[in-house]
Amino acid sequence: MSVEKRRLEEEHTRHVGWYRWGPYLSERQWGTVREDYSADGDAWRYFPHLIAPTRAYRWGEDGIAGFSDDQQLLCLGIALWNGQDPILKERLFGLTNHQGNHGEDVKELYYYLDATPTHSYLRMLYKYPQREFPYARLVDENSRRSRHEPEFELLDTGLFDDDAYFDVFVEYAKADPEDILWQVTVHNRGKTTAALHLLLQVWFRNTWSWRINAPRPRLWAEEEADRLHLEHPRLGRRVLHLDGQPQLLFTDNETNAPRLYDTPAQPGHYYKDGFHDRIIYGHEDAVNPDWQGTKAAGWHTWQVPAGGQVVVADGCAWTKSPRPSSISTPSWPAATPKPTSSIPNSKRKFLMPMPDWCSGRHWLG
Amino acid sequence: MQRQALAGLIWTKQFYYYDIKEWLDGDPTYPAPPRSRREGRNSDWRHLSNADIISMPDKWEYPWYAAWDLAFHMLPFALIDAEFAKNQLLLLTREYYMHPNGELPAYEWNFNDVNPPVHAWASWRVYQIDRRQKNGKGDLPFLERIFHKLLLNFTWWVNRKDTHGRNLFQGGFLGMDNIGVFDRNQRLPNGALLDQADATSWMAMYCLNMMRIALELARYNWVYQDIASKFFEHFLEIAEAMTNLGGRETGIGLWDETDSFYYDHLNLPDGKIVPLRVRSMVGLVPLFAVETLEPECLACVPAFREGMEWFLANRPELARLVSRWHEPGLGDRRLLSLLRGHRMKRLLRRLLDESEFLSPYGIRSLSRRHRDEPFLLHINGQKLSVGYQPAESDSAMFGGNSNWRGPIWMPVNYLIIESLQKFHHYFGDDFKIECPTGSGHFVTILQVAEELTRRLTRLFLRDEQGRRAVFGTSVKEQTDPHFRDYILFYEYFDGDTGRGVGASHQTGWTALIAKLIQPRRPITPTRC
Repeated sequence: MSVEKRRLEEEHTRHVGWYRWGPYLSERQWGTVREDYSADGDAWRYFPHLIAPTRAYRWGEDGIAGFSDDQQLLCLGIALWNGQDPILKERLFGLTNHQGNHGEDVKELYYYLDATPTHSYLRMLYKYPQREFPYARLVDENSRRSRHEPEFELLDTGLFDDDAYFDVFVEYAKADPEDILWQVTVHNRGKTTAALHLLLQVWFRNTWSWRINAPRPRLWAEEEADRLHLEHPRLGRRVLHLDGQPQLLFTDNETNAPRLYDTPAQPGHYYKDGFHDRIIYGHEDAVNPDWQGTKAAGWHTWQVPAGGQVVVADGCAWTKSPRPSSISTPSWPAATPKPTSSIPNSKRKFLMPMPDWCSGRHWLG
Repeated sequence: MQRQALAGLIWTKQFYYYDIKEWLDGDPTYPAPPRSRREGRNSDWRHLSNADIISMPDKWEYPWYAAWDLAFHMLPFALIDAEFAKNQLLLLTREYYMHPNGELPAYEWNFNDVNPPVHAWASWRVYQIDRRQKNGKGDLPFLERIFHKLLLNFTWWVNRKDTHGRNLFQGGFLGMDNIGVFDRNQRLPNGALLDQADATSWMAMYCLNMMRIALELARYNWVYQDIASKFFEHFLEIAEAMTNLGGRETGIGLWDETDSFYYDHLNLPDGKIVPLRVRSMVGLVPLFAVETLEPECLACVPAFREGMEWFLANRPELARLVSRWHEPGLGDRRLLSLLRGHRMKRLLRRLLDESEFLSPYGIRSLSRRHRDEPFLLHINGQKLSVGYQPAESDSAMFGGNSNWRGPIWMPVNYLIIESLQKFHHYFGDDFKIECPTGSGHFVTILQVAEELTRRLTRLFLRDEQGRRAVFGTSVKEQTDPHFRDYILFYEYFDGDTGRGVGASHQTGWTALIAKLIQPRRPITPTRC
């Protein structure tokens, strides 16, 4: 019996929790019926991509190569910045039903490469251009085209012609249901050194803004900058270890009302789009200097050398014991190219024990 | 290819949270939602309260569950995790999903939309796949549990979608967006009614799936025999209604003798019945309603067999719809299908005609003949037409996002292949079909199924020149080593070139390719 079959059997006979963590984050929560509170039911116009960085979601979260528990209380997902874009790339861009010449369409390059049924191993690839992402051009060109013309795709912009892009591989591996490693590997496919900012983001789905006196989870760091603490009414307390000495950032997964609705600024309040302001526009007051909040990130900055060079970003994980875990390279068939680098041993981190999980369809924070 | 298809299937699981009551009423910390919502979208689904991990069609383009898509996802899922597949199928029938009246929630844009009833088919298939993995020990509690819910859903269909109680069904667009000449969800002028070949055939298939499940349950608990009889007779009533639209013995059926094809028919208030001669997937759905009854299987269900024999002896006009084949020493093997041998052959002539449905990459959703001869209909002073469009849709109908007027769609191709396998099981190797039509090359029905599978895999696999049809003329994706082996599983495919069209990560039902290329085990003939 294969190891994976044994995990499945454990899960189905003893409910050990292999299904608890998985690739459960959506790739698009904006423009959905659930987030639409309009009078006319036009879900696409009511909650466009433009405001997704700024407005907190009511019913679910989205991200790139995301991961969460099965009630989506805690989410993991990456954000990228090439030093050019006006926003962080923390979710996939695409056209709405009204914008596309054949309706809605994602305008990104990403691939699901590996997965096991218990999510003991997951791998996907996101391709991120080094030049400015052509948000406006994709919208304009597609809206110019008629229904009788082909769609204008990201590759048609020529942005990838000289290979000035990053291949970003995201992997998750579980040594047991609670021992999780998260690892990002970045390749510069271009001909020159290029700058890349990578954020490993951790945040809570907003379960507190919609009810009176709802309990509020918390993420924080103490003097050691290599670990994040978290406390959630359902998850209990945990510690998330970070690798590679990232800069820690904290904000809250809440709607930036001053920006969106022009309400008066409130000092000491931090918002969902805080990292965009901090990283792209240098606004130090957009993130919480007290190192606490409901959304956090380890922020890495690199100059990635040209062609074939590999950067292994830090991993983080939680485990019941400080026993090191690692991604053992499975013997794959030759069909799919794999990253060529080996992973340094130091790139492993752990989270501390978690209490028994309570799940149930009616508990939603 | 299989590894990436299955990876996509797993990556496309999503936490889905939607509580209609809270969504309509609003939150105490926010202003009340607009009043119009109280009568608006999904307002008749207040019981619905979802907060589960669900298999999505595509986490960007369709980040919400779609009941009929999900049923298809569960076949490839069953290959790798049958427990998950069974639980997903059950989930949609739970009281916090299924409407109290038995309707399955279609998808959040409109839970009331009506999609093809494939839940029973998927439940039976997942049960079978799981049973094979467990060396013949089937999960009966699963089957029994879901069967009870399916009974509610079946009855909802019968009571809601057969307007005049004639065993002929409507149902509207039925998942195949723009396949009709007009929006089949629209109410027709002057009380005209559209008798749909696909709706009626889907219901015939539903009957046979339910009969099959009931017969399996009856082997362990005899009380299920009479419900199996009910579905046997119901199937024949539908089959008969399809051959006599205007009532018994009128001879006007959904099958068109001159064209050898099934069409939707307009039932006009003055009693006239007008066929809509669009050669589309709608007319191929009758192939999906097929089951065989094995003599040794009938031996386990004597009450069912007795009822069946009485029925066949005393209702000759219905009995003639059932083919039978005498198995020496065993008795009669029977074929339950909307098409008997001769008619099936004629339908397959169209299906396997490369100038009509058969493309190098699978079966098209619309005959290529309509490229030069679009179907025209004059109705209420309007001129409507259906022409062959192999790739993207050129109309805004249903959001303009999907196109069923030519492209290749994996789920219906999958059902065609499965149906052919079942026909072969009955007709055997002596029954030969010309494939492609006009080629002079005669093969068994099973070999036809294999040929279709081969053509579908060509969408993704490299050809002799190293090209993958799915990437079309995109040089980067065809040649760059950092692109060319990363496969995208599109929503549908160009009916001429195989290029991927529509949603680009639909490792929901397009992941069926992973099931298709999995080697089949030979059918054990004694298995019921």
